[in-house]
Amino acid sequence: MKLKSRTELKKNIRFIGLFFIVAFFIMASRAYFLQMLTSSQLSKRIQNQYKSRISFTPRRGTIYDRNAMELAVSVDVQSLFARPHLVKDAKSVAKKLSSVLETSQTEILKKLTRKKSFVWIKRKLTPLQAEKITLLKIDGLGFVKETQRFYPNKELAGQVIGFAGIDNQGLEGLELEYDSILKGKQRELHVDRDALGRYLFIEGITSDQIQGHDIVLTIDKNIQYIAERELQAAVSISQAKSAIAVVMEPWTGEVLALAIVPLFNPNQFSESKPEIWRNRAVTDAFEPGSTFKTFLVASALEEGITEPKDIFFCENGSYRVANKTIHDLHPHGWLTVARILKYSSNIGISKISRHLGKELFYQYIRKFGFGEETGIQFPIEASGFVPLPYRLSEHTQSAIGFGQGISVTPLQLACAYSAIANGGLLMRPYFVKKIIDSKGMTVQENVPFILHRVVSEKTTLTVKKILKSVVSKGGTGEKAAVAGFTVAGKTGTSQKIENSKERYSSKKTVASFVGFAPADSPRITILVIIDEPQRMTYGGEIAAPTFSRMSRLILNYLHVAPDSTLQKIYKEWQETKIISSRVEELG
Amino acid sequence: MISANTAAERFIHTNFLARQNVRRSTSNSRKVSFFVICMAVLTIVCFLIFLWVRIYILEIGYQISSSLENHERLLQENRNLRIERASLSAPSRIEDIARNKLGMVIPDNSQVVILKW
Repeated sequence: MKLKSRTELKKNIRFIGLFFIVAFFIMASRAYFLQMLTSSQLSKRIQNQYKSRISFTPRRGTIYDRNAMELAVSVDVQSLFARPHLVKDAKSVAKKLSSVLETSQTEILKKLTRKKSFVWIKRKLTPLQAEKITLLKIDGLGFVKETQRFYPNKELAGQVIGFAGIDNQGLEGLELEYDSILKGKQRELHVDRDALGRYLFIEGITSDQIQGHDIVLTIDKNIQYIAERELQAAVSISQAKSAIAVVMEPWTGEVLALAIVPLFNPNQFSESKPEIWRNRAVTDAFEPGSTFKTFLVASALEEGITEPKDIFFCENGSYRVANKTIHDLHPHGWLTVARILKYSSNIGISKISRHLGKELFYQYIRKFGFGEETGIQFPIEASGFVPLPYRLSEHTQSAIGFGQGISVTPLQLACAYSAIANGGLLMRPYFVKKIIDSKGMTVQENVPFILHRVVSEKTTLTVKKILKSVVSKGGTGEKAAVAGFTVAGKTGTSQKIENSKERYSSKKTVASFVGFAPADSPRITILVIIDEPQRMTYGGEIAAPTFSRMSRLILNYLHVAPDSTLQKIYKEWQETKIISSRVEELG
Repeated sequence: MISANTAAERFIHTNFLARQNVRRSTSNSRKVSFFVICMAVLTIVCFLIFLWVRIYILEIGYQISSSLENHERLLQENRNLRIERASLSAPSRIEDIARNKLGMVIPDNSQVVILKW
């Protein structure tokens, strides 16, 4: 019996051994088949099952002001979609959704009954709407996370920043100019999924790393606000059509503020007219009027054709040039060059212009940067209009001297005055200080760029002195004075051309003032343009006081010590020095 | 003629040899079965280790995914707070509060004393 059982055991062991050998052989051959013969196909299949590709639309970069305060940001929002074939009872769903989304029921029903596998119901919902719809728990509806552009300061610098559309594409302003930089590049990532389709590991990438570059502007949010507020006040007082202000740093060309009234809110850009979206300080040209006289005087002084004390007869207010009469607002007799500018005599200027000659004047106009784009980074820039010298009649030559028959952009004018403020260097203006990536590293930095020297430092000192007299008592720009500070500047009032009659309008004017402060060591250049004021139509009446208020607030904000304070300190210091020297003398 | 004793001896001897053979084959088969069992156990242990590693990787994957989600949530919160700060610090709002709620006014130049510049 024992022998028999042993033999059976032996057989069983052999059988099990054989089973393992066969099983091992099968496994080995299967493994060979899987690993060697079909490995590539299988790895593709497994990748399809457990690996997934996610396409990431980058978050649009932020736009900051010069002090890193957000001017344009991207906010996460939910967009509602439907899979119509999965929606049961489309009519009741449409009714429920219409009350939450505040959209017509028929419109939603139309979308829900479309023969498509995917339809958008509404994009970019408010958080409250998204929450309400989630609570409804409707089959066949879903959310997609998107980003929406948001401008936290509402109207502030709207025309400069511009806005982005529903698909986050830049449509206006700097949003359009820097669209590719802000938008970033679409990225595709490989991710692992489990059996339920949940993502296991997304290569350690967070949404902050998938975003466009940020832009830091030269604009200062607070200066921009001051400029906009003062312009609004001026428009309201003068019942003007619109107004423009440019605030620049004269030594660098940085634009600190660029305000255009009426304002618009980029968050609701569709609610305002497209012409309001335009940055007219860059895109539109206008006749500068008397503010242009400064450049003629500077050119004549630079060429040594006149001296500030040279006198010209101003024909008591009426002067005939080539069958056309030039008038002065107030009649003047003999005036020095300095006084011609102080009292803004058209006749005096036309006489200086004839002395300078049209060729030379044309050269200087171009040197001051007129008739060509400034090179600022903006989608559209006007170059203005400067007539060629051989086309100028005697009268037109005179008229250009006092800013008629020529057109300039507000930015060109501000840049040209900045050149006088900084000692004669024409700087390239710029809005964008630097571009930074998501880690805060600088990708590109704009630095002050000198285009060329326009006039000598000596000439600018003389012109500054004359421009200071314009703002002094009796000058046309008297109201531009700022208590405690010395101001240099020039008023301008130009008539607008009536398109229908092709002649200058007697009612429509452009009142302007452009200047810089403190005059001897300028920190800011400000240009104020009031378009079609109904009351206080002269530059000295409306633009000059606006300049004054703006300058006072901005200089205070920039912590610029008033000249009077400096003089007081200097006087006290000198007195102390005298006293101490006398004490020393006395032993 | 083989005596009865001799026959008995032969039988005993044959029996002994047979028993010895059985013992030898039993020890061989024990060795084989031990080896087979060891291999089976080793295979199972290897399989269990492999399974444990896979599960562990899966678990780590979930943890990383959850940490990333948390990170993303915190980033979102940070972004929201920044946006809120930007909205609250809008100059128009600050001026409105300063003027209307706190009764503040913009000082004249005579009221401004610059200590350092």
